[in-house]
Amino acid sequence: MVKIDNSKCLGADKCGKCMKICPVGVFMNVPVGKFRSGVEPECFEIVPYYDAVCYACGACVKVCPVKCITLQK
Amino acid sequence: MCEFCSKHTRKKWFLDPHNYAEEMLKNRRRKSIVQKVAQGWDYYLRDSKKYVDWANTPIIGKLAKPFLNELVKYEHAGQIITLKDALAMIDLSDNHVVFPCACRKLISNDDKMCCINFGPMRDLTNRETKMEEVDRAELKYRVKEWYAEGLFLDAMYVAAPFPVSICSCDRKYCISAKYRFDFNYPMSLLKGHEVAIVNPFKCKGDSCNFECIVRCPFGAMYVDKTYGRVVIDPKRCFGCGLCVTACTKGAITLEDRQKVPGAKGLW
Repeated sequence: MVKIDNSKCLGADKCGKCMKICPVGVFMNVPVGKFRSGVEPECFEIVPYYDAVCYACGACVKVCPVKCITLQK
Repeated sequence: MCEFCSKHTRKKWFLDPHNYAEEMLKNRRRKSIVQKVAQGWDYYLRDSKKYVDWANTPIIGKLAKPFLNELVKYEHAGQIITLKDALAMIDLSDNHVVFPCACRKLISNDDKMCCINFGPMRDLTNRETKMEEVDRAELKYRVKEWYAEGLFLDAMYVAAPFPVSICSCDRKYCISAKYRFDFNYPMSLLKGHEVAIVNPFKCKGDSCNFECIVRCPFGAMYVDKTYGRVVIDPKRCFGCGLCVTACTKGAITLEDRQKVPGAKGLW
């Protein structure tokens, strides 16, 4: 299981390295809180959305500059 | 002919002009989904998330799988097409716009403008992200470029058989492909109408670095090491035709799926 500490995470626009390095595309950049259709959301956070397909290679943990990703097998 | 073709038309569903008609939008459910898809976030995060949750439910997820798979055709999903079909689709449709691909945007925060939309999509969308109106000739040029890059093309429908967009996807980013391979909903990315066939007399694999295998996004090809040539597994081939463009010897051709015994009826 991948876990992201969103209080430390820099976000996809500033960093987004984990999303780019992930070989299976586990992460997703989703709007925070409620969002309405047709309105561009303001605040995003990176979430391990498809963690069901993660195979725990640990690339995201290595690449994260603020060490906010933890991996539990 | 796949299910949608045999049920609704005699041609391939994405090449039948009747399917592009505005009358198709009289169906209320279809119209509401088209609106949601055109407006981005809502559909990808809320509506399609429930399929992931169902797939992860231990008992119900397995028992109800065939039924849930049937439900996918009333949503936004697609089928692999070849370059030739994609160009024909561009000729048939109108109001072309290009968006940044929603799957790439969500999964990798990447702004690649490679999502071709047509028909009602241009007028329904009101998101503030960039949108580009492109004419047919330019669009065809871009599609050929993406295809040369090695992106497979798929025709996306909303509540089959109403085509709304052509995706140029990569296996990692494509949410449809994720649903098919990772969550086991075959309906979300149907195989194409063709299958690639290798001519064993022409294939000289060891002299060309197996470029076709590098380009295959579905892992359908392997090497017969005894004779140094390529073998395509017809059961895994999606018929995207990327390997055909890679072959310098002209050894790979596309055949009609229903005429190939190993791949007949597999969608």
